[in-house]
Amino acid sequence: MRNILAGTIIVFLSIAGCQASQQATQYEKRIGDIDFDPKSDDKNFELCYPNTIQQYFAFTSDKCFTDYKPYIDSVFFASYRSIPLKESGLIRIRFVVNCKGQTDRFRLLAMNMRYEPMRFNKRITSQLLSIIKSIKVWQVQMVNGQPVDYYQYLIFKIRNGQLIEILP
Amino acid sequence: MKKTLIILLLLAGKLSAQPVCNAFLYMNDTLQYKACKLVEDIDEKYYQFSKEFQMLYDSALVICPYFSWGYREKSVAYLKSGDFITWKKLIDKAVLYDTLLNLGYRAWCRYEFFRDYEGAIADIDLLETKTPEIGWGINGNYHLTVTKAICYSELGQGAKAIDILSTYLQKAHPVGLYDYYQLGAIYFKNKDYTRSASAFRKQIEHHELAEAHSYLSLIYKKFHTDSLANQELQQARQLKAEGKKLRMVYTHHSNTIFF
Repeated sequence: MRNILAGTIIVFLSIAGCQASQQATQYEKRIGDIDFDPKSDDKNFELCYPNTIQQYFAFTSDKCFTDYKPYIDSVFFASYRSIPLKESGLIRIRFVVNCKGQTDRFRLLAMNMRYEPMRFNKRITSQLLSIIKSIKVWQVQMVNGQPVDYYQYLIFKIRNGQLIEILP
Repeated sequence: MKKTLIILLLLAGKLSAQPVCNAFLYMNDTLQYKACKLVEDIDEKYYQFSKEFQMLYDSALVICPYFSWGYREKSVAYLKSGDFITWKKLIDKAVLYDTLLNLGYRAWCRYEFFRDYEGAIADIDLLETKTPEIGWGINGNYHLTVTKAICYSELGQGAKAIDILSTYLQKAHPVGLYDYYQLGAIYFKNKDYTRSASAFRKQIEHHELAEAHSYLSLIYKKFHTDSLANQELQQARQLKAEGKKLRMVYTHHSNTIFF
């Protein structure tokens, strides 16, 4: 009887431990973190502060993203070629800008207008990725006079294969 | 009356990014009270994006699965990182469990972060059936009626947008910082340059913006009064240099004119 009780407790504890562990590993250290992936990322891409990559909106200097937006718009609207497909929704490309203004670790997320995951035709997504990677130098952002690494994202609003708007 | 008081208590908490837990006790809702207490000082301890922040809210939601504030707070980091899919799942739960508190917020986010004009209008329309005062977007830039007008304009329904916005402005108190600017920009899109200029002048009286002068410059050009157009453009550039321009933290204003 004692053995059965001990066994039950051990099984219970191991299940409980397993659940706690699953919960702990469900999240990145910070939401939206992008770890290095040797299959897709450049191993030579260097970060100044790999453990504290900031968010794009963390900077209060005059060099805010809004000032950079016309340039981003001009690059995409000049380069993107509409694909005549009935595909509409949002495509987010999130990436890291390092302390030198270089970019890498591009990750793509897409949805339809019902906020459901969606796979866009590659002629749309590859094009967007190719254009975003063609921008070789991004804004360098500073904290306390030091250049920092940060996460940036762009959201592309697509209607019937046509690029309509760019956010944020 | 009791319901109004509770909403006020919750909204009072919202301004400081935290509900007042005692409001739940007042409603005899001990589960929400316990969940709320668990995360009471969380903003002082953990960053919104952190794993610890998310996990503590998860624990609160185990205590009270209908703790709408928990879903809403968990959604914020996803919103700010552009993860529309996870954000929507979480904010929908917040709306499900406390529609009045969260519907306007969801509407504003749909507009602000994802330019989901149809979705924002649908949420605002629904909210209007539930309360006579639908309130402002969370960053305080626009009343949700103004947000709705902007959305209609972006959908190409300029006349409807003008009707909503000008009717609102007749009795608005207070007028938002950028309301006349948006009215001017919508008139401009509709090619009604006289009314557009009038709205931009009101904007300048109310709260001077570089962009309002930039639009006026374009209007004077259309009327072939180049010297006035140049004056307005110079004024716009000077104000821009002084930092008197449209500002928004996470995204950009609709109808922003870059010059």
